[in-house]
Amino acid sequence: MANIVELLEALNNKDVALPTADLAKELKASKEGTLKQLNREKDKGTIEGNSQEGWLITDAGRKALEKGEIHPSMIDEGVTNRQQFEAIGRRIGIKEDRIVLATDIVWSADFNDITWVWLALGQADIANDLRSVWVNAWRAKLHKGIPAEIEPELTGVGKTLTAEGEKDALSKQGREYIIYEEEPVRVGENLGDYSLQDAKDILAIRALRNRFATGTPPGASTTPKVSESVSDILTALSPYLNKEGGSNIDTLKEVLADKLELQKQDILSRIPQQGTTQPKSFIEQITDAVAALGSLKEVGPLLRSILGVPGPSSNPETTQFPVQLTGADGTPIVMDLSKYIDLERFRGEERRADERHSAIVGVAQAVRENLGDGVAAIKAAVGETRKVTGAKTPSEPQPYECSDCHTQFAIPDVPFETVKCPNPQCGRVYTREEVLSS
Amino acid sequence: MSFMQRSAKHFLVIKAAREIKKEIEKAGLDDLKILAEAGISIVGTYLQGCSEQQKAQYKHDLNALLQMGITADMILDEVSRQMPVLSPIMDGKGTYKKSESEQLMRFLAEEQ
Repeated sequence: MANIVELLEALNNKDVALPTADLAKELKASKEGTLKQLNREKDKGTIEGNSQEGWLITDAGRKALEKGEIHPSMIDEGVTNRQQFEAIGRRIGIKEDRIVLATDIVWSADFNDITWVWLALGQADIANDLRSVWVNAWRAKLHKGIPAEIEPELTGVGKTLTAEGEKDALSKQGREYIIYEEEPVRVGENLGDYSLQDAKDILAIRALRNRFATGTPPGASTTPKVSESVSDILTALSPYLNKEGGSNIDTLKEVLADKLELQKQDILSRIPQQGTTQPKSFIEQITDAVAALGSLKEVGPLLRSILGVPGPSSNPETTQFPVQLTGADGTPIVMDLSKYIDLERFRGEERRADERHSAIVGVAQAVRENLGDGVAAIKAAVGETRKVTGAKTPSEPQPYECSDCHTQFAIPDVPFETVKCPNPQCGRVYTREEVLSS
Repeated sequence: MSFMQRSAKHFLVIKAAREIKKEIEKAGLDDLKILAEAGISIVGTYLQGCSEQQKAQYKHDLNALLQMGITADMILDEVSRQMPVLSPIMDGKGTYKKSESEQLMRFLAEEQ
């Protein structure tokens, strides 16, 4: 931006009204900045005109220029905070209209508050990369630090950490501990050599090394080998332990686990087997023989007879011969064979009992239905037999004819008071006297 | 013939008559009376309405009864005894029962 003297001198040399754009071009300044200066000078009365008609210097302006009475203000000098803020935006390459808008928003609140400046530039839709540069430059101008709440945005560190995962981020933070006399000691944030977990891991490894180095009896054949293996572990771990950027705990744990597994197998392979122990005593041999004989109860009958071992007890509880069956619902069932046979026998008995019961019920039903007919058949057979043999029937039923419907029916051979005509459409009732009198 | 055989024979007659009684009750006594009054054979009418399968079954059962000495007359007599109301119909017309019995015997003699 040109100063006010240069502005007035440029207008003083012109006889016609000069447009803002031409004036800005001549002064090698921005159009917007030049327009602001022109408007301020117009208010002072040193120039006249407007953007449409152009600008001309007034007589008062010429006199002031000749007398050298032009004293630029802070605004004229471009040293106000706002001007400097706008200047940063211009240096970054942001368009002038967007600079004005962003500055207006920033200046609507406390422009010394870096957090607010960051938010205001966001409201002005400034791209994030330019926004962070603008805010950082402004922060440097104000000699202020980075506020914690916008540190990830301004530095870009927080975003990376988030992307890698919170767990990794936490593991890399806080190198606050040193190891002093085999104990982790906190010395302050970022002042130590290790995080607490790293310090503990290192102390554990050291303890392991000391144990192998001092715990094994001297002169044992495995001691040098074990010590060498532990040294190998520590050598393999050294890049992780001495890493400047902080150790990766997961990788360290994996390597440690692999190495310790190899070491475990190595140690186990060196443990002498029981087969090479000292000869057993006589008592131990007898005990083993008794145990072996006990196990022979499960061998076949032929081998038992050869060895003279008594057979298993007849108690079915002791004969375990599992068989796999399918239950009613299709699920597999494992049970002892003898129990399964008992179960099947029980089922067969139940089935036969049910069938027998059903048959008896059927017969009883048939008898009940046919009892009357059977009795009648027997009576008829008896009557027929008597006819054949000539025997006199003790009481022949007397036929009787209804006087109304002429239905013939038999008089019962038992004492009676009344008798009814069997014809359902008649149904006349006769007394004993009526029947006997006929 | 033993007593048991006689009893069995009578039993079968009773059962056969009872089956016929069921069919008569199913057809309706009034309708049968009309048929009998008109001199139309009830047995012939009934057998005419039966399917070939039913006819074969009846023929088989009646032949079995016949072999046991159970005649159509015996069965019809038993029907009359079980249904006294039928007696006047069957006995009213002198030859009705006889013609019905012959109808049954002709049915048994038919070739399938």
